Amino acid sequence: MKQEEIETLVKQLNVRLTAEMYDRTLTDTLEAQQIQKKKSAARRPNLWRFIMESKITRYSAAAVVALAMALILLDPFGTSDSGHIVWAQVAQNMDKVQMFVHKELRFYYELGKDEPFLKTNVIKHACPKYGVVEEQYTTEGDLMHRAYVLGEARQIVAVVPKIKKYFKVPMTDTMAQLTDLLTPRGLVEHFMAIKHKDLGASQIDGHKVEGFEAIDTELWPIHDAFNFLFPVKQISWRFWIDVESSLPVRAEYEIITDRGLFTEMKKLKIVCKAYAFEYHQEAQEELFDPNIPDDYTELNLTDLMPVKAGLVGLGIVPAGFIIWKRRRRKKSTESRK
Amino acid sequence: MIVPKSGWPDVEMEDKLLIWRFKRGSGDALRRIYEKYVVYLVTLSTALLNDVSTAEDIVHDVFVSFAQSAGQLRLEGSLKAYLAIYVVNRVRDTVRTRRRQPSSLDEAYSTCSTARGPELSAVCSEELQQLSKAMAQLPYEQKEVVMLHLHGGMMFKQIAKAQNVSINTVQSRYRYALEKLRSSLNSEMRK
Repeated sequence: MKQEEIETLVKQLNVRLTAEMYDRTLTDTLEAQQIQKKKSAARRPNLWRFIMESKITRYSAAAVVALAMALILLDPFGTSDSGHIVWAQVAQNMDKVQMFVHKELRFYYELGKDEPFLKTNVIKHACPKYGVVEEQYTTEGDLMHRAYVLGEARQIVAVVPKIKKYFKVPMTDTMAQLTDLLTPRGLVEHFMAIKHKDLGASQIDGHKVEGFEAIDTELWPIHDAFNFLFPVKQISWRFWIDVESSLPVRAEYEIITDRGLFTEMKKLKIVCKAYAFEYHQEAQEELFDPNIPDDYTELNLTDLMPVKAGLVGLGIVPAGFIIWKRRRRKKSTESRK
Repeated sequence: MIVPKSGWPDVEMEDKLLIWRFKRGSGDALRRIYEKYVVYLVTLSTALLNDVSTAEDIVHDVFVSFAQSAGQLRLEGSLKAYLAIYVVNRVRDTVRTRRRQPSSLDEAYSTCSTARGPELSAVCSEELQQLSKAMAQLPYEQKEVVMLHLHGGMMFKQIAKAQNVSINTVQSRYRYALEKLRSSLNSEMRK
């Protein structure tokens, strides 16, 4: 018998479970989970009280809501359970927001290098009802891409003017399911579960703010779908929340990637600084309608070979968390006072 | 289209989603994890212990502990590998405390895929029985490597980390194990 045959045979080893064992173990497992949940509930009887008793956790909750919206990972498609009171004032404030806009500076570094090889300006619109759309520009003002994550259409669309290409990626059921799971409550629990620290009080644009920082290595299963293109290894977040309004006024996140097709097979560090947040109580539907010129053709895999694609793809693939819309073309200069 | 529709790593993705939901208290997610991996884990445990009832007890305990661990769970690799290592650690403890002598993998529980048809299945079953006996004769560490690599799909590097030995040691164990299995099976076939 050859080695390959033995290996095949080992793979076929299988145990036929008795129904009794199967049912008993499953029942005991589910019971153990229930008991554990009750114990946890006893330790933390009321999430709302837990959050609201502490200024830090209260702001963290706001920060999570804001970031998730910023990253498209907060139910942008209308699955928010607004019946919960756990969000208290912070949540109420956020619930009123139908659309928010912010600008962003993005710096792309090859890991280990001090100087960024690319700087871009981004504008992003996010809306719970329609989705998220972003535009990324070079510092000279040339549009690099316009990308959409469209909830109702269950589609991710990106338009790349430089090469007159576009692509459409359907959101799989799994991805859609993920967006359903990312409720505010779930996100708060996630944020609470990872290590985060208070950066203390500060002043930004004349507002008294409080900052928070977290490093997340287990975040967002959605990334795996894009792993061969844009393998995210870690995200560090920093937020500054306006003490008075309980709304974010500044956010920074740093993404460390592994080698991927869209990173030109380099390990990257991408530093993003979001600022100039504006909160609106009405959404502009027309902003979320993909506008693909007639002469653009669909992007395919050969277009994405590193040499050919260059930096075209950079920033598009993480559409699951970085999608932006330029609304007004302004030279952006960030200033944290 | 940049990503083929069939190209989404949905298996891994499904596991991540299951973990996500499980950590947030979903009974359905836990049930799905159980349904997905219980047979593999009992097979692994049985192959290592040569004792089905103890193997079932271990998998039972592993799932109960797993259910209680939702709050502390920090999963870096695959869920399947995580559960496999969980089981292997328990098996090792059992082996250490009981110092069981290997007898043979319970033949009544060994089976191969029925999808291959009844005739082939019968032949296969005989081969598997021989394999079970041969496996039982392997040193424990070699058996662990063979099962985790071939049955669990784990890389040698992952196994080395789990066993706290070098990757060369793992590869050697695998090579020796396969050689012994081949020798045992071929001598059985000559009888």
